Amino acid sequence: MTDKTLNTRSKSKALLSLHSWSGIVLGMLLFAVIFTGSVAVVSDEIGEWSNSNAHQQLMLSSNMDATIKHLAKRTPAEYLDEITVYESHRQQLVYFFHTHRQNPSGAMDDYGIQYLVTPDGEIAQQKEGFGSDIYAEDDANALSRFLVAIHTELHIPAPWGLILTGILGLAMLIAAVSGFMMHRHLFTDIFTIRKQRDGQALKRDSHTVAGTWSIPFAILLAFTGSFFSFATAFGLPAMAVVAFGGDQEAMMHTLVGEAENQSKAPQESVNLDMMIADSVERQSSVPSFITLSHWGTESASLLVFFMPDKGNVGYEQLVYNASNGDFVEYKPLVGTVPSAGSAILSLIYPIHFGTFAGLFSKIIWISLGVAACYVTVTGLQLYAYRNEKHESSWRWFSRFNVWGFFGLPLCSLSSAVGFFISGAAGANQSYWTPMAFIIAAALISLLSVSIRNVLTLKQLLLSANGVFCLALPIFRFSHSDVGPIYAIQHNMHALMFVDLSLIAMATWCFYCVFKGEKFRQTQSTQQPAMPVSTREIAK
Amino acid sequence: MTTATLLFLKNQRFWLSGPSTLLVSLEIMLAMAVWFPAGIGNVNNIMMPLIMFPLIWSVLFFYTYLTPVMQRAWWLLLTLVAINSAILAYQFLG
Repeated sequence: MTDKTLNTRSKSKALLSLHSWSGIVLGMLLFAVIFTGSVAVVSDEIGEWSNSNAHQQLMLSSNMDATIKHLAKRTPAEYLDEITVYESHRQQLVYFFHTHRQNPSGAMDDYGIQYLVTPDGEIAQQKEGFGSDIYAEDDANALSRFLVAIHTELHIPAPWGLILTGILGLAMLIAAVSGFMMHRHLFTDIFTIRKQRDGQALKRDSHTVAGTWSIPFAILLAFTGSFFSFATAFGLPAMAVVAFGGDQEAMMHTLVGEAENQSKAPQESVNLDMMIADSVERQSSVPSFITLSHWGTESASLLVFFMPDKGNVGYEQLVYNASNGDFVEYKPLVGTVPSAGSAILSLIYPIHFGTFAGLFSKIIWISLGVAACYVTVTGLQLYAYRNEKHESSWRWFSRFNVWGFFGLPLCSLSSAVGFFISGAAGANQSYWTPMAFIIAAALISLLSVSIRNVLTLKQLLLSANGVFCLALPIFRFSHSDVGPIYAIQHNMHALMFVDLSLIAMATWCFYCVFKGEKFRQTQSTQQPAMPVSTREIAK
Repeated sequence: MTTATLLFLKNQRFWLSGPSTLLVSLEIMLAMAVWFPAGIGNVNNIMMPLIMFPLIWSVLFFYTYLTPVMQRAWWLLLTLVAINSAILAYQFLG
């Protein structure tokens, strides 16, 4: 045997060891991040669904110019620095008049008054405070916000949550790249499932096939995800120290592309609705949000933000001179002129969020996310299977897998149930949505340590997942009276998509429960005394 | 936690590919803000190091993990530390 062959073998062994350990040590957290990431892809749709709403394009039908003038009169002058407007999930326009201040945690934040305005121009609610606090108390986004926060920070205080998800991104990168490097027969492995083999070989083949297909996706998502986490947690502040002598505000001005000293001389701004109509004509789309800077001064400007639409991959930002209404430019995502950094960043966003082709690309992203979840699940199951052969003490690992893989989806579904019940009871949805998740997690943990038979535990959690998936569309309907016929008639695509997905998931859960019961019956007929092992759970 | 579980702490490869690689990658990212061309938009020296950080880390990680000659990998990391420390020192003190 030559040195080269030996070297290749030891490298393959090292890669296999790296692949296994990166998956085993962080596998369950990785599953949590990938699972909630797949859900977060449709967070906007979940926001619409949870409020039984479809966007009414209020920015086009409302007299926003008159509303802003009316609200500006009752708002302190310091908050007229910047005004953000977007449509909420409850058929209202949200106007946030704010300036920039350091919040109690030391980070720069928006501070001002937020108005919720109905389509006929009446103020439904008014709140003053930091932007981050007001957003955290917004009941309309309670469910989608909670699910996204699990994905981005695992609900661990900043910056540690972001650092952990960044590390998980790097672990996913290790697992995916080492998985790719140790394949000696990559193209054969893509199609190889040995159905005639027993449970473990079948599971290993399924792991390899699903893993091979999702390698490019996993590498892309791990790379972009760790970028988002690390850049937000410490990358940007560290860059401010090196490149701007610690002046974070100066760096933000450079990145946002705004001059620091602008004229504050009063000058009436032109009609806002006319500029928005012009941007809509240019983009053939409805803006996601607008930002007015220095409204009513010589340096007033308007930024209109559009999500990717019709063949575009990146976001579009149109800038207008609000003192004369002229269109100024298509603004890059960062800086004032097109740059490599801005171009790459504008690709990273849609690649990570799957927003580049509307719901279609989101469905593909969810499917690939599910495949990545499956790879994590089967990877950990294989580890439990392999170790159980020799050590019975490893049975706790199979139990742990069932707890995580079936418990996390159930907790997420419970948070949605908490959202609807607290909404119907008129309670604080922002409080009860995470609380329902915690209560469910506690109950599932209790069941996981008290039910002796792992297969029974799995069947129970799977059944509960199915029941909750079926119950949620009913909860939503009873909460809002928006049924499937109304949704079809009013083109409420997001609502129909989430309802149908839940029904499909419920069907899958019940099918798995049925299969599991059938398997258990067969086993009890053949070997009544044999204990339930990981091999059976894997099957 | 058993002693066997903590054995990896005695492994030189763990310190090389783990903490050392991470720290060197961070230092490279910070030093890039100094030498990377800012470009006409004046943002490339901020954005590119941030974007490239996971890439730099993974290249260094796989090299240090797979190389059969660990001493060579240590020397590489030390050289990178020396070069990037000099760049950062020049930025803050120069």
